[in-house]
Amino acid sequence: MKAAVLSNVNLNSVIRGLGKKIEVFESEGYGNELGVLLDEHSGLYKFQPELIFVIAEYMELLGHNLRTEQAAAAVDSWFGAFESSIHKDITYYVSDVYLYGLELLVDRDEQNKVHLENLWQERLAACREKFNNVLVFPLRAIIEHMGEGQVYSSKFWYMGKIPYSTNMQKALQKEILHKIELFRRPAKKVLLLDLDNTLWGGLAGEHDKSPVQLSEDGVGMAYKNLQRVIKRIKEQGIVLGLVSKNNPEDALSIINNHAHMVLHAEDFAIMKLNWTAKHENIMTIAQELNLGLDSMVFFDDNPAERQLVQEMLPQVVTPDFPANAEQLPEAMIAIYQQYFEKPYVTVEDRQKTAQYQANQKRDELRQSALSFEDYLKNLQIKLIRVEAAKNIERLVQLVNKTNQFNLTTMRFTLNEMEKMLEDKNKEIFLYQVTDCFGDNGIVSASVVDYGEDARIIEFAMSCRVMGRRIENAIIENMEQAARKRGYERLLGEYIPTEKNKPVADLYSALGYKKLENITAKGEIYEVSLSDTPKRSYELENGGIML
Amino acid sequence: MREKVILLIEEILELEPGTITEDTVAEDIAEWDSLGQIMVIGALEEKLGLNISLEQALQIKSVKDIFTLADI
Repeated sequence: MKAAVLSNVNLNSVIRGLGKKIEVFESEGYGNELGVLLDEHSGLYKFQPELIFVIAEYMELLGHNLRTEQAAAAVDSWFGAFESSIHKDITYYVSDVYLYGLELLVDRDEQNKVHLENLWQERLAACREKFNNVLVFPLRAIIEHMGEGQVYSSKFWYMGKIPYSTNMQKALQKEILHKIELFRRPAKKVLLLDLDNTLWGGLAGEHDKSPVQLSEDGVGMAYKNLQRVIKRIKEQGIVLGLVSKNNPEDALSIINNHAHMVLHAEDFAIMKLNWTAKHENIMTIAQELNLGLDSMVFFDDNPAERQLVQEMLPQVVTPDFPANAEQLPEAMIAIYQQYFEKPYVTVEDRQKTAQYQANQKRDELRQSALSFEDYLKNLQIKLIRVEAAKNIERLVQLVNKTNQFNLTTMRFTLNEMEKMLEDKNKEIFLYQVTDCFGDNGIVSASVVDYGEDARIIEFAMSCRVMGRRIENAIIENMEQAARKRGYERLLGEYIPTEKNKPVADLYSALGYKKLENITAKGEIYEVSLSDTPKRSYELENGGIML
Repeated sequence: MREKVILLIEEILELEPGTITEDTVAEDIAEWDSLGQIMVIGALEEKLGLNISLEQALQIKSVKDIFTLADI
């Protein structure tokens, strides 16, 4: 992955260090970040970076003019120039800012400092509203964590317009490498947790002898802080599961009743509280959540359990457990950063747990329903067509991450997808599904290409809503659109892969006929638009809602 | 202290251990260019408390110069 680091100050020492580890753009000189970005013929674009880090040293950027109007004008002009330089196919990490200057050490005015910093932060937030390929580089958090006394170096500044100390230069390198890594590695999805001596100290079920440690004091507070960290991780869309050897009554009595539990029963998408071997429980969880073992991290204080899982299920990550309970919160933060953190979190991500829980309720409903039609009716499914332009991140995620129900498995970058949105000869069909158990989110995307023939070039649906006859309604929606444009037939394509066998017969099932003697990568199907078969589905309001 | 200075120069310039000796001159080390020099001088002050003034820093051309200016 090619990256560039640009700044209004000299970060060449940081760049030189990065150059030993990654492919990084080496500019001549420094401090001309906007000039380099705006010049289409600059070496930067010949280098073709995928990621650009823009690190802003705020005092320098403001030219030491700390009056609000002047500062606001400087910030606005910077972002005006920056925004006009943005390329759609590059991801930008723009730093937030920390205001530091020697003169500020005289009669410190924290209120004005924060006020000036917020001018930038708010303008950066506005920029991110406009450009979804702009992310925040957490410069300020690094400086606050290290302390300005450790970060800034007058000596370096005078010698070479490098504002930062050796340690800060290293910290910047580390954070930049971390952000790059987030783009390289697939993020894990599930955090599986043990209970005793993991989420609390001591053993459940022995409260008469010794109550578990979970409190606002001493080591009990470390466990409580660990739970706070995990709760926050869950809010980033990570699915939590419990895999713990306990009597379920004992464990649940603490989970449901202990005054200091931060995590509650509803925070866990799945619970295996039993005496079954943990690797077997984990395999069951993989089936029930329909997620791969390689998307799971297992956290347990017992080295024997970790070793067993490691040996039986090497795809599951089993991180080391810290020696002391007080190290637990920090250890969990490190696990989050290493395995779970993603460059950005979508609304769908944040609703993950609720969706998996609702799926389990749907399974129960299916088991109690008289017939499949009754089950679908009871679900009260609403299929809503949503605007692709407003949900482009999810659209890209959906077509690129869906493997099973994906007829052509074509992948598109954000940039390609945006081009497709503007293309009048392509139509994107994007759908959200809700039912009586909640919102499933945006779960299906297809693309019809209106060329000589109308042809479905992409048709993907999240596995969480498969098997509900939703595709029957969606195909009719696409057929109707093609009919309106005057086409007499609609073509569909199936390109087989390792993973999309579940939809090998989809077009046949939808009443399409396979065309023989076609030279194409996959199989081509057609239906006559004047003679489409009647298909059944159970949707609220009789069909697709707009 | 002289040993520590040499180790720090190697660390900052990311050189193989043993590359720098008391007789090394900046010219012979590709990494010891003007940027490398700034990184070394800054680190000497931060990590070892050796203060070399800005004006003196410009004149440094060898490990011996560092020893002389830092008075070690």
